[in-house]
Amino acid sequence: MTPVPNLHVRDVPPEALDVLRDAARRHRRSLNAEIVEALVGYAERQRQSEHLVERAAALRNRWKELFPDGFPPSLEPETIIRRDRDTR
Amino acid sequence: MTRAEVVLDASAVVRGLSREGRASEVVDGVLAGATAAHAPDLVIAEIASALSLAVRTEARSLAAAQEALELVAASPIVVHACGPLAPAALEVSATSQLSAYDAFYAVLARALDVPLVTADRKLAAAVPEAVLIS
Repeated sequence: MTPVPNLHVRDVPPEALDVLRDAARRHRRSLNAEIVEALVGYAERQRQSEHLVERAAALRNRWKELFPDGFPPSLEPETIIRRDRDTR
Repeated sequence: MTRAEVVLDASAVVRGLSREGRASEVVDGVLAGATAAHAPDLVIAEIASALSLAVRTEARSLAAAQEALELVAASPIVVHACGPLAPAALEVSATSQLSAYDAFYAVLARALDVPLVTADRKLAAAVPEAVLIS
């Protein structure tokens, strides 16, 4: 079984600690469990957001392959959207 | 530290997902969670409409268009229902050159007291303190 690492955190702002203590009470768990949950959530959000940025870059690359010299003026995204807005 | 906060319109989102530039920097900042973004729910319909027009008229790949929509749906953009914004949007539209559709963006930016970020010159020109990106 992989050992679970421990983390010693210094200089925690008291306001942040108060928020975590309140959340731990509300969720009926220890402060340690609350902090671990917060860290897991943060790591997951980071992982997902990195994935989204990568997907956006890949998408831009695919469109660049279709229009290597840039969009024709009539096909610029904002031109299409303005035309759509003006014809509703 | 306070995160930057903006209202994004459909042109900024589609531009940012299509080409490198200022719009893509803003969109990447939103996707990475560095910038908090808001939009009226109208934005989804406008993005879908622009993507469908692009696919229909220029044979742009439907798969790429679907992927862009999925990315928008998965993004942390906070989407606000148009209903509660409608009375103010109607008032703005009736007393300005903005269409009611455009007014939803202006009204949301004003309600949240954050800048409207758009790639649409006409919208940027009509909304005070809007930020035009390309």
